[in-house]
Amino acid sequence: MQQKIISTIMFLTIFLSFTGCATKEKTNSLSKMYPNMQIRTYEVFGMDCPGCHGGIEKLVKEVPNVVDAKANWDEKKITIVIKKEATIEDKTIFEAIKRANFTPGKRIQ
Amino acid sequence: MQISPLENVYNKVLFFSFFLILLVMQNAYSAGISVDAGLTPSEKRWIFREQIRFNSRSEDPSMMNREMTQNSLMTVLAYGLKRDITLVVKQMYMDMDMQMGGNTTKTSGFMDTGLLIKYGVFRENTASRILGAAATLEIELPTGKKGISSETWDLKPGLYFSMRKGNWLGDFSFVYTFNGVGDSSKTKTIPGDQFSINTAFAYQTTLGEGADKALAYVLELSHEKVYTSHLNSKAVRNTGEDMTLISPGLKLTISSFVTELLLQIPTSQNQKGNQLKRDVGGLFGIRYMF
Repeated sequence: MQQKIISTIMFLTIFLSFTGCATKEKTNSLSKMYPNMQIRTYEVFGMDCPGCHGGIEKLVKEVPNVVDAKANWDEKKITIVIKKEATIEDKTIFEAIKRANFTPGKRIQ
Repeated sequence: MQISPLENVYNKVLFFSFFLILLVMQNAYSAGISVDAGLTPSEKRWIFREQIRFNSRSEDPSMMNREMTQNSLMTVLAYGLKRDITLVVKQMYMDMDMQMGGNTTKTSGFMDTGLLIKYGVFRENTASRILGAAATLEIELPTGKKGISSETWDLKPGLYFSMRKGNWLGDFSFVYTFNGVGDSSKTKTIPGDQFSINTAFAYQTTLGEGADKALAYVLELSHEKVYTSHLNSKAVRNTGEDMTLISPGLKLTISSFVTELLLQIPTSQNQKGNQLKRDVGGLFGIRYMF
């Protein structure tokens, strides 16, 4: 049993190392994907891993006129796509961020 | 077929040993990768978790040469009802072999169902750190298979603290189990109460450039105590133990999917009577958030 567990850990460590090396560079392509939309970026504090992205993105996307959202826990920010003609106050976005258990910072863009 | 008196005694010893180990094993589990414990998830967030646990016991202090292996599958479903309230359902399936001499006794089935509510007491998010504290209350219902179920209502209050600073993650938890709440049975053995203290440290690094992958190197320290079981208000012999475990592990997060692996090494353990010692164990888990 012990040997099996140790072998599994070693295998997983090696596998993870390769997974990390093989990761392609991911760029923030929201502005390219939505050229005719408003793009806003806000600081967000409280995200501690990639697993946090889904929770905050889900709630921000529920805000009327928000088309898409991409969070980045490492850079502590969320980028939001809003319909071109729509008006959304920052505090509406802040409320959605707070419901996700995070703390909004300033609007960067 | 007639059973000799010696065989009869042997079978009784086997059955009773098995029963006592079941009593202990129902409750003595390491928390296992408790990262995020003090941080409640987002509102409307679902978390599905599967964890396979490998445990065994050996080093029989008696002359019966007993050994026990136990594999279990823990399924957890959690939902963020509000930003500070999480509802959780826990269900474990257990498969256990008990060897004594040349005989093996097998048992498997669903254990008791746990219903848990977590309340986020405190949360502070700043640019440099994250702090969180949460309180939990779990009720374990006697829904398990007969012979595996504790057949009592058990209550488990818990406290959790979490801290994140840079790449470092720290978690602390304390869970007390009141076994056999409100049970005054005179014919049933009530397992002793239990508490566990768990401290987990982790160093997390991002993998690649996209910030959608992270790998955490985890080290957990746990202490568990199981008090003596009682039958008709009298202590049952060969029950009660305490142990300390050190558990290195890995946690890989890829977007909303988490894989975790932990090796659980007992560093000290003290069992009353002729109970078996716990061997090195492990767990492998996956978590999906949506």
